[in-house]
Amino acid sequence: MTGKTNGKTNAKMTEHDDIRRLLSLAAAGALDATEDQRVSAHLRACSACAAELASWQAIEAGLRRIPTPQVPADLVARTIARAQMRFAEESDRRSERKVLALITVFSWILVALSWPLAQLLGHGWLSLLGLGFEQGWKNFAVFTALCWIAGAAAAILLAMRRDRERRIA
Amino acid sequence: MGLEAEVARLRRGDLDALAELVTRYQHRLYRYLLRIVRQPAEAEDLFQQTWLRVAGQIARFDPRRNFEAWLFTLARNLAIDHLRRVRPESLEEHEERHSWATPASLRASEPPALDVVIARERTQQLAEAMDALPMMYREVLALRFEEEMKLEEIAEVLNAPLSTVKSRLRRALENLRTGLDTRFPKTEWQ
Repeated sequence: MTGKTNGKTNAKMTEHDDIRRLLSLAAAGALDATEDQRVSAHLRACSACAAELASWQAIEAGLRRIPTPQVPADLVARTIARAQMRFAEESDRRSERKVLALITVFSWILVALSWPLAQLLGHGWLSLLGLGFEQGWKNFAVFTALCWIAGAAAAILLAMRRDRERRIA
Repeated sequence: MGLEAEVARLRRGDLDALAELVTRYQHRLYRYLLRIVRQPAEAEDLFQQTWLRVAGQIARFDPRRNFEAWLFTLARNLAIDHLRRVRPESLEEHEERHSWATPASLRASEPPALDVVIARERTQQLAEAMDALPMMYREVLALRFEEEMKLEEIAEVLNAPLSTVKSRLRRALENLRTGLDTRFPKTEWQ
C-alpha cells in the first residue's frame, strides 16, 4: 500500500514539475493544444502554479513594453541613397557588359570581313616583309591576334579610366 | 499600399517601393539589429546592408513566402556574420554582459507619478536583464515579444525546427528570470 501511495505521489510530483516547466511557455502563448489542456487542467487544482503563471505573465507583459529605441533621424534617407547608388552602379555594369558583348561580336565580324580586304590591299608590301598570303591560316591568326590585343588594350585603358572617375565621384 | 504590392513593385525594379518598405520596417528592423549587436553604429550599418541585400536578392524571393520572416532572416545572417568577425565571443551561449548602464531610451526626463515610476523601473530592470543575456536568448525573446512573431515565423528566421525554438524560448525566459531574481531580488512579478 505504501509503495502504491509513494508511486502516486511521485507521479503527481513529476506531473507538477512538468507543468511548472511549461508555465513560461504558457504565458508566452507558445503551447500546443495538448500542452495547453494539460496546463489548464493542472492550474484548476494548483494555486502555486497559478501564481507562478501570473508571475510569468507579468514578466512577459513587461517585455512587450520595453521602449523601442529611436531610429537615427537620417538612417532611412541614407539607406535609400545608398541603395540608389548601388542600383545605378549595377545598371552601369549591366550596360557595359552588353556593350562589351556587342563589341566582341562586331569585332569578330570585322576581322572575318577584313581578312579578304587585307589580302587584297596588302599583297604588295607584305611580300616585301617576306609574309606571303600563301601562309594562309598562320597569317590570319597573327592578324586576328593583333586586332584583339589592340582591342583588349583599349578596353583595359577605358575600364581603368572609368574606375578612376567613379572613385573620384 | 499593401505589403504584397510593395514587394511586387520592388521585384519589378521600382526603387520607390524599396523606400516604402524601408520606412515601413525602420523601427522594427533597427530595434532587432540593435538587440543583437548592442552597438547603435553597427546596427545602423547592418540596417543599410540588410536593405541592400533585399534589393539585390528580391528577384529570387518567392512571393508566396513570408516577407517579414525573410527580411529578418537576411538581417540576422548579416548580424551574425558581423559578430563572428568582430566579437565572436558574443555568440557563445554563456556569454553575459556585466555592464549595468541604463539604456538611454529608459532614462527619465521628468519626475512622474509613483505607479509610473514603478512600471518604468520594472521595464528598466527587464531591459537590463535582457541586455545581459547571451545573443541566442536575446534574439528569441526579441522576436517573440518585441516583433510578436509566431513560433513558426521565428523558426523560419532562425532556420531551426519548431521544437528548438520552443526549447530556446523556454531557456531564454528561465535565464531572464534567474537574472532578474539575482539582480533585483526585491522585485515581485505579479
